[in-house]
Amino acid sequence: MKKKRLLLPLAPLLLLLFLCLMAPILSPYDPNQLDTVSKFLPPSTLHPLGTDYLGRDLLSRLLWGGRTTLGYAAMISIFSMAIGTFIGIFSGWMGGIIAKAVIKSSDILRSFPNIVLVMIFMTFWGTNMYCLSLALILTRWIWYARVSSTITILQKRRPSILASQLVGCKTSDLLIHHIFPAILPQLSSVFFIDFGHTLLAISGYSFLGFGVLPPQAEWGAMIRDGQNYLSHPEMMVWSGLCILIVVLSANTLGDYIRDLWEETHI
Amino acid sequence: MLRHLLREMFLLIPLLFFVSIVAFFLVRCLPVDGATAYLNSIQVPITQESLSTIRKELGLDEPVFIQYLRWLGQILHGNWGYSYQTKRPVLEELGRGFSYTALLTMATLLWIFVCSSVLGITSALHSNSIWDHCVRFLTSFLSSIPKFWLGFLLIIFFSLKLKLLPVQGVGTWQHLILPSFTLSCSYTAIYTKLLRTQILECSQQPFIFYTHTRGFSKRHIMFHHILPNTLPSLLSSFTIHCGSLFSGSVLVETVFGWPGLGRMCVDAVNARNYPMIQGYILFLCTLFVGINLLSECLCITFSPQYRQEKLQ
Repeated sequence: MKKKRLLLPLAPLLLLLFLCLMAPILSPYDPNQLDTVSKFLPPSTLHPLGTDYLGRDLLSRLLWGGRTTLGYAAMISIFSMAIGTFIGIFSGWMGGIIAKAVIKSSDILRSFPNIVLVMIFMTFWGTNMYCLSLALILTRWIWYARVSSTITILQKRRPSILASQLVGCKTSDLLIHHIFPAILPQLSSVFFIDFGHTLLAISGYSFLGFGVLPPQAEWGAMIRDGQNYLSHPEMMVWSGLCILIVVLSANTLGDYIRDLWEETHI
Repeated sequence: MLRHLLREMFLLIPLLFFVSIVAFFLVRCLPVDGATAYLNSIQVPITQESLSTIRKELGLDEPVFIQYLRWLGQILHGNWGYSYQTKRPVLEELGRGFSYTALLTMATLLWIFVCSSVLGITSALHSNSIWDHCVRFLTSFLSSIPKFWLGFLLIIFFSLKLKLLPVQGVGTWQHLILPSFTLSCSYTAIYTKLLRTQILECSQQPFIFYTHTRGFSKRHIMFHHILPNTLPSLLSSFTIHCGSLFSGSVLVETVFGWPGLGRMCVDAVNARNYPMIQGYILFLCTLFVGINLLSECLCITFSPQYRQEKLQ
């Protein structure tokens, strides 16, 4: 079965997610504990990945940083999916000028540089994770809205939907039980690809110093910490590798789900 | 065509207008009042009297709407204020930064063009071979790698270990190689994938089959019949990525110490340099609208289907 193929990208994703969720149990040290005597230690049994420029244990920071990065990325993606799907289904169902407006505005906004929005929020409310999340949600929902709106318009014309309308099915039931399940496969594919992009955006903005505040561990911020110590590349190698693995598996998963859906439906 | 472009502009102008309102209020709604800030900067003691005279002088006592119109007039005349950090005109600073960013973008476009056309065409020619699978893995790898991390890895390998290329900064053409390559990676992945699927799709068409029966060489068919047909979809996808190309350059410019627009904006946000932030936002949005219109022109010029669909 082709479905087995999904395990290949799913396994590393779930493994990293599990490890980061278990950070309070698994991490050998407090991620923010300073130890000025043991700076830049090479990997050893005491510190499996070594220590950074303040003597903090890199493995603990990697695990705790993963909680921040993955948690925010998941939250942003879920929020944008909820908002986008709601607006998309609504506009697709209403059709006419509302659907056209959603698709036209997504045409314009999808190439809009979202750093502008991030900068506006940062100027008003200072640099913190909430501003960044809000700015990202405000630019990301449009993708979900576009996908769900397009599919809703196609679904609406199907005979089965017309028949359920004739039988007197309530519009809310129709949307939840007939339209939404039809959107779900495409939506989950978009979700995983968007999750990867969001994660790259979060770590990128944190790298620029627009995201988490310094003592907190985050994968992008860890690369920022390492940029002044290029002779000790181990400070940034692991967190970058983790980002790469998560984004690669999320993208592959999204592609596989779309392929699977296309094979069964077309 | 002119009418169509005017209609496009009609949709984009409100966006520009909205952004200008946001940019105006960005500086207006700061915790520090404009008159107090001005008095501080010319070192006049702050009293009730001096505040009210300055308010009158700067026009801060007038309705917000009038103030906005006056500010918009200044912007249109090219008076974008002065940077807090360097005390020089914002527009001049932005222009300098833009020239560096444009240079970086040009080099990036060159990388994208060369790499993705080579990879895309070869993998489509030998589809489902080992090379094709390698290219497919490479593209998914390149589209997932964090740009800033890749940049540091390249610096560590090529500049620190092999000592082949300069680490950071600007100057010679060698400074341009690593940043532009780093920036081009994710786009190369996208266009390679797109080019491959487009070529394969086009090869299935009956008219390509006909050129085969007419006895043209494979090379002739590829360059004269298949590739021109892939151009429209590549162009339309390019319009989507132009905006992100400029915001994506922020990361690469920070990594490589490239004094372009992006790094300027990061410095401005960190130093709370409000005139620069305002200028950057306006500049980027104007650029965005300009690029959108330009790409619309290109799509209409190069794609007959698009032209027919849009102009009717």
